[in-house]
Amino acid sequence: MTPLEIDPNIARRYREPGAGVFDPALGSRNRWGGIRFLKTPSAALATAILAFGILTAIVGPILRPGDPLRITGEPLIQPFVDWAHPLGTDVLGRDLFSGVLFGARVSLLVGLSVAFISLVVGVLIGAIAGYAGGWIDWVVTRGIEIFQTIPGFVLLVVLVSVLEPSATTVIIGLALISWDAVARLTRAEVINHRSREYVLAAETSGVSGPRILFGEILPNIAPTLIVTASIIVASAILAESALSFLGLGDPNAASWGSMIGSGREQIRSYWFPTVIPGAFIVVTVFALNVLGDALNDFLNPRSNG
Amino acid sequence: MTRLSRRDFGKLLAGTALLGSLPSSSFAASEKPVQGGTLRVVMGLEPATQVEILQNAGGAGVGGRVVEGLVTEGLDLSIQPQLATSWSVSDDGLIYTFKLREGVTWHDGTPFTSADVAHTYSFLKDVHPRRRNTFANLVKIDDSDPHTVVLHFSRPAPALLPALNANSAPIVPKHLYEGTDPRTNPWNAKPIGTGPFVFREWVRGSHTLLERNPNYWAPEQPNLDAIIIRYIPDAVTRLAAFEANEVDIGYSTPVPIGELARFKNNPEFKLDTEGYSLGGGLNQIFFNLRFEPFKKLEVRQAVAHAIDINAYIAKVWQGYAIPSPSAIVPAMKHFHDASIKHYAYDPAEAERLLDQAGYPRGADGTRFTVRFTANPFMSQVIDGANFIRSALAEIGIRAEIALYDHPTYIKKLYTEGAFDLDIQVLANGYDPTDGIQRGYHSGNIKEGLAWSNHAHYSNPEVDRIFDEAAYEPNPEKRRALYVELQQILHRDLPAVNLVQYQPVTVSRAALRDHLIDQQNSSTSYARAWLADGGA
Amino acid sequence: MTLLSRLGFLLLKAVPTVFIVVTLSFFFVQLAPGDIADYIAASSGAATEEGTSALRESLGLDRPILEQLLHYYGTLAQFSLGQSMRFDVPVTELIAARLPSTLLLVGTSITLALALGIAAGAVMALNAGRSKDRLLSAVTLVLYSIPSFWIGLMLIIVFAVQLGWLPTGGAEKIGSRASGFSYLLERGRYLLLPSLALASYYIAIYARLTRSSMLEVIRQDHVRTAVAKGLNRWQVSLRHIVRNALIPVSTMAGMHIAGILGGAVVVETVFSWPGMGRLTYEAINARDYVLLLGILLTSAFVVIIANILVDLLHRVLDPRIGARA
Repeated sequence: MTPLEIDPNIARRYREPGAGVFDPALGSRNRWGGIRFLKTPSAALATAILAFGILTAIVGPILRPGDPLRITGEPLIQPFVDWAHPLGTDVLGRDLFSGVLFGARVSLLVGLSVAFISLVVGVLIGAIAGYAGGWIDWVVTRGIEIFQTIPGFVLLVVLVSVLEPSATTVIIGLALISWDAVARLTRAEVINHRSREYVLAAETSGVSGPRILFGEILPNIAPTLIVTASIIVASAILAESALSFLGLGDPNAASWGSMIGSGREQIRSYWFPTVIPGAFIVVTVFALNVLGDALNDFLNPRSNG
Repeated sequence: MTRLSRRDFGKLLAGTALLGSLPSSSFAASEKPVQGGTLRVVMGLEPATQVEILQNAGGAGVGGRVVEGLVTEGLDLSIQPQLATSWSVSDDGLIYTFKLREGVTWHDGTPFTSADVAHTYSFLKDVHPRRRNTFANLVKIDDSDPHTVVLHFSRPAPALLPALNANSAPIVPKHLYEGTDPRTNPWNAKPIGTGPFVFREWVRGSHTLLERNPNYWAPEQPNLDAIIIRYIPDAVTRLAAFEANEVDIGYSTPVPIGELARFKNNPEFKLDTEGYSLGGGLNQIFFNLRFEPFKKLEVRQAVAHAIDINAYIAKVWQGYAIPSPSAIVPAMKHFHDASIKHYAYDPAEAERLLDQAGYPRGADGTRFTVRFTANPFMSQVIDGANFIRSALAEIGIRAEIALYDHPTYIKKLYTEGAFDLDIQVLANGYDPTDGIQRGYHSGNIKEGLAWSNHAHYSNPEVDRIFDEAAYEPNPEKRRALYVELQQILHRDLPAVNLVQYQPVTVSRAALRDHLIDQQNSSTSYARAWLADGGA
Repeated sequence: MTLLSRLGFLLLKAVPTVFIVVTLSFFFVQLAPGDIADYIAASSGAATEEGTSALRESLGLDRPILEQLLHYYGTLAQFSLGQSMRFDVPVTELIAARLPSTLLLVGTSITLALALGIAAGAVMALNAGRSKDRLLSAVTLVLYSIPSFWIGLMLIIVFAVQLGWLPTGGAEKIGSRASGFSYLLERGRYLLLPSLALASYYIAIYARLTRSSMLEVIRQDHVRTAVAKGLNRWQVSLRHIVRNALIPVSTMAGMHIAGILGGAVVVETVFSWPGMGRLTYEAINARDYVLLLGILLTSAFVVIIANILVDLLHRVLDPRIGARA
């Protein structure tokens, strides 16, 4: 085992943070439906939080129309004091409630897009490498190694600061540093499944390679990938806030991260311009992870329990 | 227009200081200085090199603490002796003769002589981005007498003396620089000077340590044993360092501007607005006159009418700024035209002007979308951009902010011209020829040159006034010319001038006699002392 | 294969990877608008046409890109990282001054994350399904969900400003003459908060990995047998379980090195820690590609060496791996 080619068994655990252990009681070896899944308190709570978040992202801007970056009040109004600004205002007098509603849209959009792009790219590359083997696998493994060797966040900072900081740039940058984990995981899983009986049986009965890969193997490893996706969404939201901290967020879109970025200079005297969007980040990331865990237990009963 | 360097941007004229306080020396004079103690200075930016001879990029280096100039400027802007004890100018203004202080030695023990001055000035003329202009007409330096330097110019140089201080033209030893490329000389990072403190170490990314020079030429100076200059990049961490009593002084509003209030009524601390008289930081919005819609005067006027300057000062600058409706800031008293007022805050009038200019509101309420760039180096400018963005949205203009890092910003604005609106904080400089002419003279429309006339403003009348005033010897006539200029600029509106910004020095109250000149973060601390002996 | 020859083999194998990293990064930086001359003009607030073009010429920025790349390869071939364009000193000097602090910070953070993570994970596994398990799981997950700069600022405000126990930033007491144990203690005071801020994200990962690995081992026959034989529950967990759990955890830690190095950019800024992260940010901002490439090259080697160490550790932990290869 060379350092960068990891054991498939370990690779399967590469669903940060360690997937599948939040609620061990969940071990319902039962695949017959989502109702059972939602009966578990933590899974139900996480699903509810995220559903609420997505609903907010869709409906919120309709409830509170107008540009959230407009200055609509006095600066630094405390939360729960003025019902025109239920969550208060920031240093310029921008409404924090509108900010978090629109921020849900931007932050979730960034997270979901990054997960989608890195899944598509990573699965495609990793699956082909793992199934084809030989020189293709060699090239892909070296490629992944290169991305593994460069500190991801540094690459991200370089990319975003040399291009114009915007939601698109942030998404591209984050996808660029996330795909390699997916590719590595997919490759390891595909290699693991290749030698299983169902694949060998399909091969002997003359099913074509791509068909086996996409029709047989991928559906079998999909649960693992879904769990990984939930983790990528969470990490992307965190990374976006770190970029905003360095002043590299999209200046034209209120995201939770950029709200923290613009409020953090007052952090010593005024807690709410940073704590409110920060709390939304923490709760969302937390819920995504709990959901990932619950999904993992539900979809991969053998991995735990 | 001279863009403020990070270090210079604080140097505003003190005449209009908001908090106009007494010089600290006036009430400290009766106390006897305490000897000893270590002064802890905090800076946000670390310099690229410790002596400013190639570039004044980044933060202040060792400054006047280690290296000195021929002269220095007092708080009242008078020119005072430093390494030169006296000087005279020939009647035709072409020959400057400086008598040098005797018995001064470099920190390595070598005697200081006129040859050091001559050698330093001759290479500054080639490598220093600003002294290139100062010494442009310097034809000969006579150092035949070891204690006399004579500078011969081919044209009069009336603004020479303010450029010869420790910060602008630091004198370095000839025996260490002769025969080397001054830009890469290793002594730039471990300077040998004549100043009150000796360079000890520079731990990159962390701090610089200076120790008392026991052989300093001024008797009984300095009082402090050592100086630590700490580099803390984050403003909130700097605030924490002040509150945890880890630093004694910081310059140019070292803490988040909104947090200055925490220090204002705290007797442990002192806020000073003095010492920033050289420069004049003008916050303004430039229009790109090459393209529609800002080609049209009515559209520019509409923008001016959309801004509530009092709200702008309160929200963006937290009160640490005064209105500057004209291109020459109020601090530049000799030239500022106080009769010019901001365009009235009148959104309805702004909307009328836009309708008239042929930009009606569209179905979504938007008239047009423009690219809005903001100089990235001060958080207030970015807050300012957000304020303006919001104000413009009220009158139906969608301004999309583009935040670039420094090199991209310069490339986009000055080479590609890829902007419609640009918000900046710029230094006015010590004279309109220094800081203002570059931004408006059509001769300075130069692609690829930073801080040139990027608005592409071109008015032959303005060019004429600039050219005439630059060589006008009569101060009254000169003022009249610049007043006329300000009125034309106010009418033509190539830029909306917003405010003159006031930097603040935060210090522990126990620190005394540190404010003795206009060098702010580069000051020498020759007389400074800590009443409590240091924390 | 002996450990030593394995080490040599892995290092040699890394060379082409590093070479490609450097080449790709070079072209990547070239895509960025503006150059060092623009940066200097921007931050000095003054520029002349002559000065700017003279600077470009002296740094070779006016030459064709491929020529600049070949020139850089030439520098590398002489085992040099070149001269920083912004600081006018050799890149190796700049990196040598910063690398130890970054390694110290990253090393401490990983150690801290591993220690806390494995401890929490072990407790969670031994109490699987009980409230202790759930509570620890939730706490570590909350730490995982908070942005590190936020944790950093909060730690500073609480421990440095309010309580005054620890310094707000920096790496050591300036001008300190402490030595021996008191020196270590002093360094530790500066190290604690930044390494906690950097470690917080990873604690949850190691805790959960340890937990699931341990649960897997606990269910294995030999452990059940051991327990049945009457061995103390704790003895069993230490001997068999932790050792087996260490393999996946250390693999994961190896993969995290690059991520932690990157995350150090933010934490170093918050704590004014004089490390490579801040230098990287300055190099990007100034378009000092010579310095940036030097940093990326160094980081790549750090990551590779860390992974080699993990590989060697595995051989020690589980001799079967060496036999298989």
